[in-house]
Amino acid sequence: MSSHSQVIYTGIEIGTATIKVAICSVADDYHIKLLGWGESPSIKVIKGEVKDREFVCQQLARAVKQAETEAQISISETFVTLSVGGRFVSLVSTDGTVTFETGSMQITKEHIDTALKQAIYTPKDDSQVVDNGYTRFYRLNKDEILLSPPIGRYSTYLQVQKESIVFERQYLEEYASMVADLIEGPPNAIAYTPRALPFAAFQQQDDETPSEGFLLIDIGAGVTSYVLYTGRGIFTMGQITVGCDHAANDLAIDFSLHIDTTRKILRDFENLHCSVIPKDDGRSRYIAVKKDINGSTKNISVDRVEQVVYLRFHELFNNINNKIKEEDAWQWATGGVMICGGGARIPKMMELASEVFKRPVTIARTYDVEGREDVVNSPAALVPLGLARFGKHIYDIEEQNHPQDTAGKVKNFIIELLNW
Amino acid sequence: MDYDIDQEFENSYEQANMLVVGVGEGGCKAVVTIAKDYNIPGLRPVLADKRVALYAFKFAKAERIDLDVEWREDYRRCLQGISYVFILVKLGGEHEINAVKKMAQVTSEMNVPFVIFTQMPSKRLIGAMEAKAAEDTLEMLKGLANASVVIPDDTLFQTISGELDVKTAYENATKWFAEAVAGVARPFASENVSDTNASRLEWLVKQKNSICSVGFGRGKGPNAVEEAIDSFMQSPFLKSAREAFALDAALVILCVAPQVSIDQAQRALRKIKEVFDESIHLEPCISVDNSLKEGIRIAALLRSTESVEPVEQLETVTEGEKPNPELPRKKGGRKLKRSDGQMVFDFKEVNLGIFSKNEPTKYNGENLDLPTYSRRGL
Repeated sequence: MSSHSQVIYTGIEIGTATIKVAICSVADDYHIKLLGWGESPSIKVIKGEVKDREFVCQQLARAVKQAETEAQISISETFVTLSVGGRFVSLVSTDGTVTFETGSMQITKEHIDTALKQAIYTPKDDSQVVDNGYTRFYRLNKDEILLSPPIGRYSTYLQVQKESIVFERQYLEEYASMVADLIEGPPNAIAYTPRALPFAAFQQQDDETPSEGFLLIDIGAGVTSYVLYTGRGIFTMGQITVGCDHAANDLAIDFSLHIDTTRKILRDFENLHCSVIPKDDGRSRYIAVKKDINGSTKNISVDRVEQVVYLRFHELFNNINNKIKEEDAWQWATGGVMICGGGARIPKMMELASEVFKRPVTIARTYDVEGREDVVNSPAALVPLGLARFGKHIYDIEEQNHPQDTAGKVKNFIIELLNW
Repeated sequence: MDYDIDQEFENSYEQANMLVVGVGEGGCKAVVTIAKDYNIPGLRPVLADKRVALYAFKFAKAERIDLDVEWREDYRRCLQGISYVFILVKLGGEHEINAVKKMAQVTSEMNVPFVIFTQMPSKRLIGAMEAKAAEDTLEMLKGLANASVVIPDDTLFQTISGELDVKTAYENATKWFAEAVAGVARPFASENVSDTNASRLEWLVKQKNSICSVGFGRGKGPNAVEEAIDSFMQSPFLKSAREAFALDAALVILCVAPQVSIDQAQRALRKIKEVFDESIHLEPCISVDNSLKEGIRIAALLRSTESVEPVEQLETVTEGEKPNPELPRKKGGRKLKRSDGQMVFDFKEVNLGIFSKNEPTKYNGENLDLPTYSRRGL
């Protein structure tokens, strides 16, 4: 990796449909300059799980090569951050409480540190790797919930709730080793996929200048990530292993078509004048699908196609809505909802989200990024660009904690836990 | 040593992923009986009744829903993280009817699959208005629940000797009601030896508006299997005309005492299979029941759907009778069979497409890899 003044960051996302690699420079104010971009179809990834490691590694190498050629730099000289998600990652909420037996007391930084220490999640055994995640909120008397440390406030108790990210070690090792093979060493940092999203879409805030909160949803091919960003930090996040491939699979089953055909139908939804909200216009509309090389075609009803896709995404949004309600988290999404990922490109997806969430919905874009317009304006590019910014964030923290640990040695603690 | 039921259950409730909810006095009594007598880890009891009645139940570990106040938010909290709900109610009074309607609506809104076991009061003992209200409610519940199991009081009391005093008779009726539910719930809520899991129940109840009936039997000693099948076949719920709809599928649960050998268990399953006609789709499973001191217990949830035409009677064909030439019978014995003229319910293998070889995506007990339209019955 290059020296401090020239640190370049790489974000790698191995998605269900596409592997994306972004090589960027990230300034101290977190402005991103995209230097190189590569993408390659994953093909052998289902619901975020790699099914053919060798094949996916080849595809990853292709995407990396593209990005390296464009950036004129080898990623082994950069700070590499890899996103990890899917069913082998879970979130665990833990509390830490300090009670003042003598009555109401002024809360100090020491009280907060004590409560935070109590809230640290301990893995049940060596099969788990824990990222201590983030602090969700502070609770004071009368159930008052605060997002910032309540130093100076009076209360009879202080409760802190943290959310830890728990990875299954075996899966994490296998996943990270795919990148390790390529760069002849481990990635420098690993991020749970939803965690990268706010780094891409929002300005990095300090406590003094909070902005509006948003629920940000990344609709991928196999996995949908969501994160509720309060303007000061993350309040909750998660993943549902349902994505556009599920809609394509529903269509394939319903119309007895090959999955590649229905994936194409979904990709071409706009050109086919279809939308995720069924048009109840009483017209008989059909899509002619070529079934075989002899040219025989099958006409399928557009109404039915739209209905099948609508039901799938309506349910997906509904499930996310229920999760946010369960966490009592809507109060923090003052700005509404943002959607991104390949699924956000499906016509009328915003309207559908608005129908379910009953809040304003917009398409999320990358914040303060310069570079190829087709990439920086794409709602599908948020994760790799967010990973690059997350990498810078980790690098800065590590350098602050270990100023002597110069370039090439900085690794986040998850990588250290993997004994690499 | 005193047996501390609350202590025994404390740890198991922490991992509970199914609720058994009693609504009103009849439902609550059955739930308390299930919790105390059947020791099913993974099944969390909830009692919902008016405040005065609620606190009369001496069972500290059950969660309580006070129907005298706005309770729906409390119930929603109970449903969090729950994969299945069994609701037990006797449709006697107005408050039970109102409460169970709301409960079914909330459960449905939260997308938690649920089965309602409804004890229908005897028409001879209640007024025409009450009977009509109970029937209307049952119709509404059938539309919301994934499956409803109807147990008429008239049938239930056939299980009780007429010479018993009233109090004991009602207590026994509650025990039968509880046994039916516990028998069905056990393998899904607790550890079991066959590959039974919630997906089996899901398979059975996924047909919206299906109507189920229950049958159960017990046996012990050297002829435990035959004895259990005998009492199963004589189960009044099976014989009752009220449940005599055309069967299309059955989930048969064989609960065995810990010391029962695998040979005995497999012999029992083979015998049970012989009881059913080949055209009924059968899902058998085995569960070890530590609360069973000896012998075996059979519980079966028998499904029919409203799309099939009701038949005259669920037939018990005995040897010596003239067999129906259109329905070939196996050698000897008796059979639960489809009725003539019944519409055939084509039970297809569920198609998961590209996700068929993957770990299912589970959410609130549903397999999200299945097409949404198929799960919604559209």
